[in-house]
Amino acid sequence: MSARRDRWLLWLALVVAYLLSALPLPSGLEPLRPYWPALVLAYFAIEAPERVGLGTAFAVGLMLDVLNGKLLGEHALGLVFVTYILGRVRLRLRFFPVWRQAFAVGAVLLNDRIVTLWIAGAAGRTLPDWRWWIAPLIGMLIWPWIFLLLDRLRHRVRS
Amino acid sequence: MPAPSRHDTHPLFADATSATVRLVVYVVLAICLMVADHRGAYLERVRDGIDLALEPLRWLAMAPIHGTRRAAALLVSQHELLGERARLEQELLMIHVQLNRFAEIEAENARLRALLGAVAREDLRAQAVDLLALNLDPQSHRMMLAAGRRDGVFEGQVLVDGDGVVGQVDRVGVMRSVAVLISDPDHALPVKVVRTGARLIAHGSGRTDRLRVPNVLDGQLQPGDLLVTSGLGGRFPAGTPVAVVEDLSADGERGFATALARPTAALDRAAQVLLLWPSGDVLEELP
Repeated sequence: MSARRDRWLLWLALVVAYLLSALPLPSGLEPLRPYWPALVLAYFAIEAPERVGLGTAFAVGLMLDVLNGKLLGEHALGLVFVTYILGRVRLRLRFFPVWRQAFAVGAVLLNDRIVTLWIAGAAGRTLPDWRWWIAPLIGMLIWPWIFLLLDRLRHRVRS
Repeated sequence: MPAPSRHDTHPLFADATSATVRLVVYVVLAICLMVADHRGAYLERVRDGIDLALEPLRWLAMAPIHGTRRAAALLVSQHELLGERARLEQELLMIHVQLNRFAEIEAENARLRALLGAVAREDLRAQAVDLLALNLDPQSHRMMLAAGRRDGVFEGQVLVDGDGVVGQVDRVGVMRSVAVLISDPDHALPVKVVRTGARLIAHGSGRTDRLRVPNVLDGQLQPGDLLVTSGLGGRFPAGTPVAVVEDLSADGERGFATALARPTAALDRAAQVLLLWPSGDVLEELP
């Protein structure tokens, strides 16, 4: 029962993450927007890997690609890497204090940006300017709150 | 939709190799999808299917924005509305007067073209389309349109507003399509300087209030000049306003200059744009 609730929480969190990504912001604030869906997947990849496998990450990525009108596979590739890396180090991460976890998550988000940059280069697009690198930093800074929020919600729905 | 996680059946210490193998499989799959999608429309069906299935999500994302807009519209006072109506009526009158003169000029132009044996200018059909207030990708200047293949939208179709060129359709879905703005860093638009007739290319700059026009020769441009579409490339109808030149700077020793121009269309504020059909028959073909 609790496993099914867990799954509900995952998809609900992903929907909220999409809504936050789709919300229009003034263009000056736009580079500050963290990669919400990746943060949600990161939480579940660390705390509940039985919910989020590479397949889930791939499916979520494809949906984001369609919603945002990007090449099929762009988000998918990035999110598969995020999930894989965090899955490999999760046993260590779980015993880190949350602020140290934030550094690891920040590094993974940074890596995701590099993957995206590589795709943009391969597709022959103009490469983004320096503001492109702010978002992973914001993701790192808000990670503790994301983590605590999702952790509390998950324990509440489980009990 | 997610594949059922095979994690559950694995022993506690699942070997790392199987995870790595699956990573490689997904990475290869993603790269194949991207290449296929980049090369052509092989994946149209897949994309359309996912797109339609996710439409409720899009609706959910727009609901608060459209709700606020509606509330704001309801809160406008009658006084303001009356003022706006008077202004619009006046504007309509002015435009009618101009249009009457224009009709005369157009007839004269057609006669002259016939005399010269030149090809008649194509008729255009236009239809207003809403822009969805959704953020797509902050890096590229793209917008989602509330119209798709079933409305007769096609790839490369031109978007304008009352003041000039906005962009063109990049990707068409069943009900929605994605347009790329002329300010997108990867967008290039053949333009003509009205004053001198010089033909140049206007590139997007990544900012909605600025286009970059490189490789300007001496005397081709000066600040204040109006740039219009030149019609080269065949996508954009010739003579539509694009931007006004603001600044001109020398490009180093190469002897060229680069101009900065401000788009005449309201790229960042538009809530509605006009889609252009090259001639009247596209819409009629639809059932």
